[in-house]
Amino acid sequence: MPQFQNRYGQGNSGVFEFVDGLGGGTNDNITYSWGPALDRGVQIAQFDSPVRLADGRTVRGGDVAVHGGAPIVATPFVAHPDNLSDFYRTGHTISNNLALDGAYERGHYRISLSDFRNVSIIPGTDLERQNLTARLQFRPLTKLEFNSSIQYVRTQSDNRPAGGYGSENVNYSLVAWGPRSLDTDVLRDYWQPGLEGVQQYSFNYTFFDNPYFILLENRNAFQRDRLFGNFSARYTFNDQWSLTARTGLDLSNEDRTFRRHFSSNRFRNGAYAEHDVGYREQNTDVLLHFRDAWQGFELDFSLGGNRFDQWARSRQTQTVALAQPGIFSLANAAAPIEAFSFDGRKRINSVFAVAKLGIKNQLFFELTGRNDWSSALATPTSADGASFFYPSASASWVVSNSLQLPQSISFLQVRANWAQVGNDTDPYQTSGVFVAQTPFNSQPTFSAQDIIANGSLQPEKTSAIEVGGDLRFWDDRLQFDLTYYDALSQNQIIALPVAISSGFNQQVVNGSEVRSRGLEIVAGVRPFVGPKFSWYSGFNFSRNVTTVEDLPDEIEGRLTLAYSRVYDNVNQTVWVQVEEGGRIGDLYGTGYLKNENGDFVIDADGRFIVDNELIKLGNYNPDFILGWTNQLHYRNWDLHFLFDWRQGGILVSRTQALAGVGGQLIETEDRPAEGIVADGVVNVGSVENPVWEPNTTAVSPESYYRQFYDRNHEENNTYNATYFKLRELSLAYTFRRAVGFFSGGRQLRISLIGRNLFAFSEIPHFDPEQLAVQGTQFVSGIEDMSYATSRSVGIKVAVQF
Amino acid sequence: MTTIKYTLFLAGLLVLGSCTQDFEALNTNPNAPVRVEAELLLRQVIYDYGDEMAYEGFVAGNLLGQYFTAIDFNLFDRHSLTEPQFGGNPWPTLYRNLRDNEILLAEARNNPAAAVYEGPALILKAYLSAALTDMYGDVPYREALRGGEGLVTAAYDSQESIYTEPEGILDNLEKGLAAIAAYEGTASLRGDILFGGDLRGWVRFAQSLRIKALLRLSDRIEVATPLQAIYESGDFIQTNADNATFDFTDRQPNNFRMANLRAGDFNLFILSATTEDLLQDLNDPRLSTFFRPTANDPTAFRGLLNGPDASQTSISVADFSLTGRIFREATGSLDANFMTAWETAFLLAEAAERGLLPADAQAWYETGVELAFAYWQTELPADYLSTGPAAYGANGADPLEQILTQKWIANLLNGYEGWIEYRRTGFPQLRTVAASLNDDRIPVRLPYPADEEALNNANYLRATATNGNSVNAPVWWDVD
Repeated sequence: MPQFQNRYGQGNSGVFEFVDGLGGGTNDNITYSWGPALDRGVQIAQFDSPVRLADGRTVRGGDVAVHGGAPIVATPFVAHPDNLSDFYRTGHTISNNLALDGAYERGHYRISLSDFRNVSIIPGTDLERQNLTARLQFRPLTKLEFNSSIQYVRTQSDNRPAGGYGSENVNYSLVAWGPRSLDTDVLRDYWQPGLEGVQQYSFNYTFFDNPYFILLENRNAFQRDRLFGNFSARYTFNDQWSLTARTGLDLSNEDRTFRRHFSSNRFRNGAYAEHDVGYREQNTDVLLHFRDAWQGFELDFSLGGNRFDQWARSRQTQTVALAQPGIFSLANAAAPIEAFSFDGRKRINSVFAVAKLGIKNQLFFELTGRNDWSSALATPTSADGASFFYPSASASWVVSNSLQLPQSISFLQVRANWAQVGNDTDPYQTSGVFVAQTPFNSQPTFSAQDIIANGSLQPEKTSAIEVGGDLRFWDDRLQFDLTYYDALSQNQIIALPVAISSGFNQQVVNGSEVRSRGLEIVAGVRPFVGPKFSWYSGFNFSRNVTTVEDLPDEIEGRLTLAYSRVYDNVNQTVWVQVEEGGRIGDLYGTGYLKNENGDFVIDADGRFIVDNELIKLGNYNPDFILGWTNQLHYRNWDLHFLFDWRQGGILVSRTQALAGVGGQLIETEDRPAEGIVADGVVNVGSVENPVWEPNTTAVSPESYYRQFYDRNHEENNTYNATYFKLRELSLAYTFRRAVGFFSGGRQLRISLIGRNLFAFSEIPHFDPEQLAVQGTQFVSGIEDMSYATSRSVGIKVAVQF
Repeated sequence: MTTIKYTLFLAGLLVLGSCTQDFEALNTNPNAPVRVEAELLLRQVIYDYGDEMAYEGFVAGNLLGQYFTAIDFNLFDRHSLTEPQFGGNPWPTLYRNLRDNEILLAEARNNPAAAVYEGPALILKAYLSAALTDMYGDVPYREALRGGEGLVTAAYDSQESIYTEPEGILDNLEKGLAAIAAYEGTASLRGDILFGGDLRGWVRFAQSLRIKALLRLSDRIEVATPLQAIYESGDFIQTNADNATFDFTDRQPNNFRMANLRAGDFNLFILSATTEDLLQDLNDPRLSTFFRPTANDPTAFRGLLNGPDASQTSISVADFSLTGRIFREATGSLDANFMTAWETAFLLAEAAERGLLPADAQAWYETGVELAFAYWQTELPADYLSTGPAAYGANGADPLEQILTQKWIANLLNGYEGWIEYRRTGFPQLRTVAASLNDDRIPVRLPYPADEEALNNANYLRATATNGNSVNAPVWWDVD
């Protein structure tokens, strides 16, 4: 939750008066908080101040369409420090689960039902999910066995909140641009009286929609049905041989609807869209299996073939204007109906073999080989490049089973493996097409796609070596599991940004060579083990560094892998770039000019100077992640807690940039009348021979902060993403008695669970765990007008009988 | 065991026998065509460019040309051109349309059935390229648009070579005219939303563009001879009916983009002091076509000097003139402008006045003014050209300044033309902006976008070695 300043309210240059929220008043066009000081007994006309109509009724200042500009009676200009926390509500989640299982002489079954209902902390948003699972096993003959599993999941929501920067996200009107004098409670009544369904009531009508109106009326609903399962038959010829045939299906259909009411800032005449997304995946394989054991040797061998088929489908129809307000149907369209559709198909055929050998329970070997043929690598005229093969080999040795080790060592295993994995890509990357654009006078237009297709794509190949060991002492009371890996990815298929002067903005390539090295250590200790009291404490450490070994030849300098921008603004962009030999995850952006000593250079007017050279802001990856989990058990009580520590990495924040410029954040609270002297130096010498002296020129606080946090320059809006979190804490009590209802293994367990209970981080405004979305891609290291994350406390009751 | 072998054999056959069967068809995109009719590309290039450039004109070109003042989110209006908030970066629009036009040109040259498109495609290529280099100076040109061949980092060409060398702007205009003259087929030019398929319209368009290009280069190359030849042919745009324009509509999807944006986006743009004073001094009624009276006083028009520091000025929109209804409520009256009769007339008047062309400067000036009023659907006051301050040479006025001022007025919304012609001629005199972020200088070129620095770095560094991507480095034709 952002930390706000609460000394100054809406306005600019210290003045404000609401007239129509359209610029007709004093600074009521945009809702900065650079206005008059709050709580000083000043009376100012505001959007919630009363207006008396000629007919005797009283309406609100913001009911502009009703009072038509009648005088607004000034009311006290006071702070609303909790206007955001009051907006969020206490959410709750109820989850019920019921499972039945059983067995009879020819098989067994399990049926489970679950129901999940979440009412979010964000008003008007919810999520519901029902899940039905059935698993059946049936043996009509001793050698023939049928297995089937089927799962149906229905997920639905009346509204999912929008993310990213822009007026569809309520954080735009609440955090970045919600003035500190704003009483959000008044906004709950979000229609202007008599104009229900036609004209919203808000604190501003130029850019910002009423957040309750956004969430309760401009809804993004969906319902998704997903059915997946598989059916298999296995015939066991004898102790050695068996044959399995299996087919699996994953089918889903999602209906989304998007409603926008009249008077939405971006859709003055409303809008409506229907979007159907379908997906189907079928996986069929045949597997021949052989197993034998003799004199301490165990051999296990399989040979199989697989076919994978995938269909994806998307249909969107929409209109950007409605005839009659409040009717959300395409039949009510007042602008031409636009349609977008996509069908995607992919098939992968495979053959594979796996051989495993175990020797005297001490040495284990495994060899695999697989060949895939993927249609995504074929071009419309040739399937020559569609085939790829990848093998693997691994070995492990349980040292403690073959050598006499010191008494204290209870288990020792070492392992090593080498594996290659091949991969294809999404369909239709190998040829380019033309894309329909806005028709002119109902006549069609087409433009070439902006992505350069690649007719000679190679499959991706990753070769990895992994070594590790499992070492345990004193009857496993102290244990370590170490893994080190080194993986080299070649021919990665990526769509790289390219300069539009090439005519295109992305290019599908077999990209650079990327090496990923990492270390994972899991350590566990059990200081106490006993039926009455036990304690397990575990550590999970991981560190990964991914570097680019080799860039495509045509790249001079840094390679841009991705970017994230505010709207589509080229200068408000964070670039994910990498140099040859450099670590993946470096973020570049711009800042203000600094001299060779790293001091800001200030101009004669006391201002920062724009520097458009891209500079490295840092790397978004952590140096390491460490988790610490504890489980304590005492008689019927169980206590569990989990801490997470993430060290290092950076996060570029849009909340800080926007709400900083807006004057909403605590950082902008200090507004001395004499102005602010920027911390930096001025050049009193010449350009060639600079002489630096501390800056002494003050600028107005509004001017200072608006330049400092400006969204065109990311450097000042970059945080260290290190955090330390109590992720989970739970306390449980189990009723277990030998008599009455609880006899015979029946038990009742009640737990109190808390999640996300507290975090230490230098970031005051939001949860340091963030991902942003650009188009359909996730971009790490960016915070983009995120919602508050919640602390949750829950009760869980489990009955077993 | 026989059963096993048989099954194994079957399984193997099932998979191996059909490893890549139907893969070509499976990976052929069924959603969109791999080639399209020339008509669809021509309509796309004209409509998309016209739509985008009219929007660019409103939100950015009109700030640099000092027609409008932006009251907030206005670092661009304060001449920090690398920090635009709305528009201000026409680079991608130009290259995208140049790409589609290049595909159209290739189709016209390779497919005899589409040969009729060759002339228009060459003329559009010249038109788009001129827009690009006039704003940015040296730009990727000969190596540009070749991403499909794998060339994604294009070298920059000098403006001089883009204008004057073979395959350049002047050459392509002549080649386009030649292609139209040589076309003997009977196929009709479809998708032509400028002239409804009339090739004579394209000839007039190309000749007007040649006049424009020649005057733009008139401080660098000899232009009198070719100008005279074009002039004598009489085959250039002379009436508003022949204009290279298309009409926006009143409703979506073909209305002017400002009609759909939020009230706040529209409210950011008000009358500039430069335009207020110029039009008031001329008693020019186009003031009330381009702008609205203030909300606080329905009889008054009031402007503000460009580039205010929004963080130190308290501005009430109601005290100033917002832009006119033609840009929001009534965009059906608005045109997307490629080239017009009045622009041609003012170019001829200038050429005559400067002694580059033996013609009647005053007559062309007056024709230009009449055409421009008609274009903006505003009645020309009876005394405007006779006794008013716009009368040719009135009260010792400099005719050249009058010609360029009248052209500048009519050029409102025509991309960045008002500012481009100011750079070339110095008319009308624009003002130092209120809170300049460019040392009180008016920029003389647009900076290359950050995309080029990030994605075409080596060529970008070579291209900016001498000018440092400065907005104060004049382009080649800009000789002071």
